[in-house]
Amino acid sequence: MADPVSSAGPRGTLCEPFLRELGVSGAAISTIGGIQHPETLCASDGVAGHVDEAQLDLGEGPCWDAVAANDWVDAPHFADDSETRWPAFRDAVRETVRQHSVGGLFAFPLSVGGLRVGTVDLYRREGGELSRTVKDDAEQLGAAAARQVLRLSLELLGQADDDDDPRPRAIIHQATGMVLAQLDVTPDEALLLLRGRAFADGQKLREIARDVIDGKIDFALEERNLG
Amino acid sequence: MDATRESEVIRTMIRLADTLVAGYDIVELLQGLAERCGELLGASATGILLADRSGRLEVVAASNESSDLLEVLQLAAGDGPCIECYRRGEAVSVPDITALDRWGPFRQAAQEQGYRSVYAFPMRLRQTTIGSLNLFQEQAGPLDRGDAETAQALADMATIGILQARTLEEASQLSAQLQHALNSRVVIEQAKGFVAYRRGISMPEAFELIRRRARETRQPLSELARQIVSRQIEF
Repeated sequence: MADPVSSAGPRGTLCEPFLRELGVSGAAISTIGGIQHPETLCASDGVAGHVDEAQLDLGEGPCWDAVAANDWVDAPHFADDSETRWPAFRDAVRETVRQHSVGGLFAFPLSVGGLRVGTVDLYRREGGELSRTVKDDAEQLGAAAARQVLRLSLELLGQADDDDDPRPRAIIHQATGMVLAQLDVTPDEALLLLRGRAFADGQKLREIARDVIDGKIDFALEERNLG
Repeated sequence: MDATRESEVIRTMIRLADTLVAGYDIVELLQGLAERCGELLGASATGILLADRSGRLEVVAASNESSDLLEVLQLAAGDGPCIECYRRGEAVSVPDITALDRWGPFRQAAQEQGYRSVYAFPMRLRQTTIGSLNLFQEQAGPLDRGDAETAQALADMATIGILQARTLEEASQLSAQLQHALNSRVVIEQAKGFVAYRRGISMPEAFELIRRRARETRQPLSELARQIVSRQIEF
């Protein structure tokens, strides 16, 4: 079984609210489907870590499907024979699931302003569906986590700031202000979002800023379209 | 300089000195100064630029917020007379923009906006240059000596304004003082973007709206901008 992923530092605190608020047995967050190379950012315990890592290694599992569907993917009776999705993934985690009597696995995607940044997977000892209330709460926690994931991703990518243009940055500040009017984020997060979008689109920060000012990119619209 | 002009200049200086004693918003002070340059020196447009930590020049005030002027200023600050003035620490005169054989993008944009000459004056503190005050004219030809001296005096006043504009808890280092002025401008730009999006108006219109509200409510421009951006007030 994989060792628990570090629970210290900013990454360690990422998973903690999910555990505390949702009454699940474990949670992990990865950058599957996000702007950077997929990796596990946090796992609340060894089981969650192993479940997440196995999906990363194999390229299949609820997290990948959640990204593709842009929605929750539920395996409420993961250990049952009736569960036939992801044969390689189920093989890889069979022993862990048996030992720790994992009942249900659930995954949903994370995004900020229509920009995909990663996925959350949750497990519970007991089987059965997650209630709509629990899912709503999870999505709310996910919105906060998504901003931190975006920040981490940009840090991991070494994308401090790609704007080495000698011209003034007024255009970037104006675009940041527009994002503030579009989404409930801080100025710092708005700038991160612009940078994340620039990275994802392979464009300069300045080009994205121009598109925002010209109304070609509207993060509020994109969030609605994705959601 | 004729007598009327001289008394105008003196009045401006006195007003500036008053603000410096009374406490003020740095962006507003520079904004006022940029606007007065048009009246005092017959400049068609004026822009005040300050260098950030990386040596990049940022616009802190402009006589008008039209995107055309800001575009020309951007180019002049990236590769043009403003950055040259800042780097050399001395005034740079371009009496005929059409005759320039360098700074192609700047030359073209300036001409398109109808500017024929530009004069950049350094904002200096002893050995350090912190930015530049830049005058654009619609006519070609050199600036007369009196005008040049007045412009340099105004640039010096602006420098003093920036160096004095600090709250007690802030560090007294030059870099912190510069950062204070630049940060104020960053928040104003963000507030412009915010208001422009919410109201579906242009950046210059948004700036005018924010400025008018600041005057009506007797608040410093940058303080109002901060409240807009942090959603403490509806705008």
